[in-house]
Amino acid sequence: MISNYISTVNSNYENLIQKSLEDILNSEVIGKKSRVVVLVDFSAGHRSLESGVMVDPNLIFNIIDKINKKFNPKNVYIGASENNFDLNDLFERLGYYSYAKLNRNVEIINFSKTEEVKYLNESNKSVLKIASIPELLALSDYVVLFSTLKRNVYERYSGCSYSLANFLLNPSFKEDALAFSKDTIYDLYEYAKPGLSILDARYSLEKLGPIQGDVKKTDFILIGTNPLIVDKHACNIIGEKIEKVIHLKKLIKKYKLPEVENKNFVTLKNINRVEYFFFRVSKLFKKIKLYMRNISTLFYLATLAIVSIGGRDLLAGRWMSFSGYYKIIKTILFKLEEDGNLLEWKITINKHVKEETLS
Amino acid sequence: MKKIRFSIVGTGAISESAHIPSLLAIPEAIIDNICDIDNEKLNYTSNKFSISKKFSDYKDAINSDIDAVIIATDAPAHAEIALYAIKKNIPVFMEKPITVSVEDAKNVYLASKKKNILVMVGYQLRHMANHKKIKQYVDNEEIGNIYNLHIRAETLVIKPDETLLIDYGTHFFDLVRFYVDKKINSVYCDFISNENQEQIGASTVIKFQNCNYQVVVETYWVPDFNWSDVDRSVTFLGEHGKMSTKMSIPEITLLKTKSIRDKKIGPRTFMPKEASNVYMSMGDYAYQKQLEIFIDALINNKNVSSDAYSGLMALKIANAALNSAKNNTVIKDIEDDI
Repeated sequence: MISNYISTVNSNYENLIQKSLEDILNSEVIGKKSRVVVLVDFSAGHRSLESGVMVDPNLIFNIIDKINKKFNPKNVYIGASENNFDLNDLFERLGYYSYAKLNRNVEIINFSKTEEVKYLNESNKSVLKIASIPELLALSDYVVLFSTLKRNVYERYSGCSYSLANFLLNPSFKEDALAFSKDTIYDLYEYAKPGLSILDARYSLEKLGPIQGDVKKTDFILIGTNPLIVDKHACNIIGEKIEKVIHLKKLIKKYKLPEVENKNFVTLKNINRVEYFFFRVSKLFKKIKLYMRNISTLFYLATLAIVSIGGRDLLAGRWMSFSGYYKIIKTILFKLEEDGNLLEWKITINKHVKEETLS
Repeated sequence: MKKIRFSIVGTGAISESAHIPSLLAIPEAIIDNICDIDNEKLNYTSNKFSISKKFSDYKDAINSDIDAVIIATDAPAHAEIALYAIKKNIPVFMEKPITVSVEDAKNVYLASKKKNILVMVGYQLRHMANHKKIKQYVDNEEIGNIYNLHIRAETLVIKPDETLLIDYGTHFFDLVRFYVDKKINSVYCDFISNENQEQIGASTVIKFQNCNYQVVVETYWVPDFNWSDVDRSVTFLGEHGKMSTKMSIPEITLLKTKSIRDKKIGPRTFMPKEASNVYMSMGDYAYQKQLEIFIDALINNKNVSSDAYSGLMALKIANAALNSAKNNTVIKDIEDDI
């Protein structure tokens, strides 16, 4: 099925959603006894709630209402997996629980507290590579994926397909999987295969870190049946070349997307925007924080090198095992890739001082 | 913490590879003594696991200061030892099959019932995470109404005193009862023999009361294969898809016909959390798990699912299948004479 896009400037918000869902609502893609799993992306701005954007809950409720009205599935599970924030608190504050009270088949789920399973597939049979996902996803009939748009040092563009990682339940695995290998994203794409992908990019996030960032107005929403087409289109809008977004490039190469007409995107204007701004610290404080972090990182790396290599071993001319070196290199790389690291020091500070826009 | 003192009667391969290592890994278990009529085996096991107290007569082993006995002798001797232990009010964990004669099995069941002594039969498949999960999915109608349950199991080894159905088939007859959990209506079986008239396969069809789907258990003896080549799987076919798993590999494969994802990509495969957190082979895990369940039942005065009745019923199905194949008839009402 070819994706639809919200495609009219200055139009009524409701009509745009309805129009974009036409193909889906006119087909029997969701059975009456089926289980719909809705993944919400809280990742943008979640770490300290300093600043950030999230998918607008009203957009989620609006689309679920339409699915409910047309298909009346047995269960709709709206969920997210836990990170460094209180998920229940977020669900409460953003009105998810109130919405679930009004809809009998809707349940709000903290995936991290539900039964988990390990996913397996042809390319990922190794025990070390398997990852925990919610059992609900493994048993789901239809997946709806909501995502925000982010740009950071890890990814030049991060949208729907990257947000699939929110299904991963083990935070350290998730971190490793995203930092060192994109295989997990490919596997998740194949495993979850969302039936509907929504990129709520009315506000987007840009910064060096993967989650915190500066909020930018980008003014568009994309809705499609294929998350890759949505992502490809979003890249076009923000002027990012797909060839430079590694995970997207590989995914598109692997799954051979149908061609999409270029006319299917335009920005949204004059609609009721929902913004989620949290407390933001001053730029001066951020500067001091970054200096402090860089100094502590220096100490950390120096200590790590001394402890890992081992003074005695060094004097005795003994060598470490390969795994020892690998561990050190991995840790150092990880440190260097962190927000505000040594390599990006100047850039980081400049970014805080200078206002920039996407693309 | 209360500790259970065990005697292990029979020190053959299963005790050496499964029961003794499992008990050593369970904090609530103490191996008090081991017993075997074969002195060579007895001494070997005693030395290997540093168990000093050993007997050659099971009565001496049971009469020493123990809380429970594990019977892991050849199957024909199970009933005599179990009946003696029950007489002495000692709970029994016995290897499958409960015994080889239905009459003996019935006596064990009735004696345990009369004296209210716990008897558990070692059908470990029902304690494996994948089978428990699939049963849950069947009960929750994940693939709608079930049309068929198909079990296919191949083995390289059959014990000389027992037959394919009694030695090996009872595992799957017990698993079928675990899945369906209803009264058996009828059993029909057909044998497949080779040129030497040896039974190399048996197809058993079991029907349950108030159960709309058919159960087929196929067991094959494939002595020339490698263990890695044998196929041992369970498949449920349902109104909206199918589910399957292996006997000892805890992967579950699920195909939902209503799912667009499955239509495009095919079935999804996953592993239950319980299985994925296990750092030993699934077979070893299941052996240990069943002993943990047995010990928990003793300490907390609970019932167990694979009790003497389950052991008796698995044997009765195997026996009915044998009679059915010999006489080419459908055997009915096999639960009524108990």
